[in-house]
Amino acid sequence: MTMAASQETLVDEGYNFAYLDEQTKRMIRRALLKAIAIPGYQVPFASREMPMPYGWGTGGVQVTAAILSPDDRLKVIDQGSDDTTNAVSIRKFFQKTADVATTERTEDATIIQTRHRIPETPLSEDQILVYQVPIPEPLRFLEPRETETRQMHAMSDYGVMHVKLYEDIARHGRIVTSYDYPVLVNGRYVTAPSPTPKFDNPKMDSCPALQLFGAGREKRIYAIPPHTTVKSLDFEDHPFEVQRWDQACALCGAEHAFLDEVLVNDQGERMFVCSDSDFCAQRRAAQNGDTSELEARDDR
Amino acid sequence: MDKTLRDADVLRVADVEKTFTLHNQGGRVLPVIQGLTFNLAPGQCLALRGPSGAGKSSVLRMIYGNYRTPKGHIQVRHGQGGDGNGAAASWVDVARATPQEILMLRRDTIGYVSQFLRVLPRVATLDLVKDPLLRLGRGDGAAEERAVSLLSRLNIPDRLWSLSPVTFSGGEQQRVNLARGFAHAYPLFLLDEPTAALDAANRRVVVELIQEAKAAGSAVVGIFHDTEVRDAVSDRGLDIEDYQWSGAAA
Amino acid sequence: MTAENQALLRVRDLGKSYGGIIGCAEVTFDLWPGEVLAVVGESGSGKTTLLRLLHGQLTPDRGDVCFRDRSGDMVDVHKMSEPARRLLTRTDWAFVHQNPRDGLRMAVSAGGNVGERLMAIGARHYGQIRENALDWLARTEIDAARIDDLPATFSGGMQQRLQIARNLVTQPRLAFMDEPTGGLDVSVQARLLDLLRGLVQELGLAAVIVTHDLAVARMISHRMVVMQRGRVVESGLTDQVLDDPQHAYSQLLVSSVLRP
Repeated sequence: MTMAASQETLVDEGYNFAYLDEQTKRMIRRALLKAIAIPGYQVPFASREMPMPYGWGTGGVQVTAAILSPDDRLKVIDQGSDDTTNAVSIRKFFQKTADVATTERTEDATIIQTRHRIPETPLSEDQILVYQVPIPEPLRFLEPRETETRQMHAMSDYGVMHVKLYEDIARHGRIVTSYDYPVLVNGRYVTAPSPTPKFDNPKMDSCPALQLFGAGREKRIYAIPPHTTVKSLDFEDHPFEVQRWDQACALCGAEHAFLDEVLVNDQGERMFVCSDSDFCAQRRAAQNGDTSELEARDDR
Repeated sequence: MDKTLRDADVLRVADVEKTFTLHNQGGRVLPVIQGLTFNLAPGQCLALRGPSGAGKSSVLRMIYGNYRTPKGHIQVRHGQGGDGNGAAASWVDVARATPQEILMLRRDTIGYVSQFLRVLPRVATLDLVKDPLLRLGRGDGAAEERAVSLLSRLNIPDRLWSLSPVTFSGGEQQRVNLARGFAHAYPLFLLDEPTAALDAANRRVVVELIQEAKAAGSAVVGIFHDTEVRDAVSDRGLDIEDYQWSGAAA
Repeated sequence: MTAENQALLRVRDLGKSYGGIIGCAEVTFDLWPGEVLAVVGESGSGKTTLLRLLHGQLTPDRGDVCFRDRSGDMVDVHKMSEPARRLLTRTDWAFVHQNPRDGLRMAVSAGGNVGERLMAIGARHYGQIRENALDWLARTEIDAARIDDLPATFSGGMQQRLQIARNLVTQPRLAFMDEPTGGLDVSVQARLLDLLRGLVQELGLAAVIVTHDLAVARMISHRMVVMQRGRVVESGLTDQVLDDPQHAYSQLLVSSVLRP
């Protein structure tokens, strides 16, 4: 055994720490450093085959693997929930390959890998949010040629982004784009926030946490450093707005959280509940004056 | 008005020669004229005479810059409009002028009325007649007034004014063409059989228009097959046959 | 002679070869503000190569193309930075393709197509963009009710007029047109030409129009150049070149036209 691989973190014999070999992690870290230095700019990287299919978060997993240290505490969410298949399998993946501590409590995590949501609980400076990104190119909708979109980014040639929003208003009377709503990062690069609901866009602006984006199939990494301005594109007479709901969360009563509509029985009855399961559970526990349930849910 | 300019010539044609070379017919050369020389003063009308094919129309087209003038000079006084707006006069040699200069001459100084109206679809008759005045920067009201007056005098019924002349008869098109040609008091008019398709009443109107233009100081070079019209308007004649091409240049 | 004696576009000794084949060579001319120049010649004569060189889409092997910008300075089209050239192509310049599909976004509504240039240069008021789009649809004779329809639902003539509206919305001073009436029926051609003629006159727009149709050249251009095998063989006033062509090739072109 060489020194490099002889760390006590070899949980499952045969895996390097966090699955990826050290050279690959270095390559990804270099891409990450470049991405952080040029906020919103898509940095190409040599995305590896991962033991899970594309679309299951291979980009996010590689970013997480590259930044993970044995002292980290990892939280993984999918659509805001810690216990969907995708979140559970990625969490298990890092438990198995890195023996890393995990948590469902947003405030306890040092790294949060996410698909489709930003937690409701405000993030802090010692946290990193890792996004799984399917399509990193916000201009793709209007311009299929990669050579051309790269030019357009280079020249800040972003008129077409507003054409997309114009089309929304012309057809629907308002901007109906509600996921992956384009943002301008640091006043320079138009960036896709990954398919998070636009409800979460304001949380990206001047966020104290580092935000990293990994697109495995598209082989792109980009980043929003802490405290960077992130502006959602809009028109003067049709300003950016987030979704609102008429009701509060049926479980915890939250009024300003992102709600999912769920069917509760075969009769088609439905209710609205928080999409952020940890946020909802903590609120309910606080209302009951009881935190034991939450602690019991912690994996370690 | 400046007396000296008033008395100066409007047009000086000197030693003009013209042939056509047909490159695609074995380089055959069609001779036209040689040594053509004449001057024209304001208010004068010169009638070009000669059998058809002698080159009368070619001379008008050379003065207008429509045909090239390979040899000689065609000097046109430019820059002192009929309304005497004070701009300094200068001579432009059409034989050597740039396209921009020729377009400027055509806008300000030379009016050309051919036998045929080049009809543009969808442009109303009234707008067609106003167009030369609008290009000169005249107000829409003044242009319209002038156009209405000319169309009325030339007996174009007002129900036709809003239509394109595409569907008009040959005589009507010719009268629209005349109205357009006489809209502006050009210092120099070139008239190629202006009365060819007209009845007696309209011929009289055209004679009046020419006489009015002359009285206002315009010079005219014309081809008039109708001797009655020619006698009524021309001050002198010029036989093109006297300048027939007689072999390689002297 | 007058205050207009400053060329808008100055082309000097422009040349481009593809391997050993001449695309175009030794092309020199000036284009004046408000002037329409027709470039005629048969297919393969270098017309389109010239147009693309002028527009900066192709880089010449030799020679240069200078444009007088709004501040009055002559700028070399091939030496300016790419962002500056892009800005030029979407503000002061227009480019009308023969096939409207090449010049339109077919997945975007008519209004979005017209508004794109405005948005690209920073317009951020939806209401004003839409008003502008409506104005230009009217000026190109497209029914206001079609503003939210996709160009695919338009006839060929309407698509071409939409392409023109999309280009002219920023009030450019120079337009490049590649066979703008090429794919259209004769009756539709006449309407488009007439519209173009009116707009050119009204806006004082200068234009370089590539066409093989001499009737189009006569109707719309002041001046014309005849190209053969990549070279200009004759140039001059449009009616002069058409009525008294000097070069053998010009004479052949003119005499080949059927007059109805």
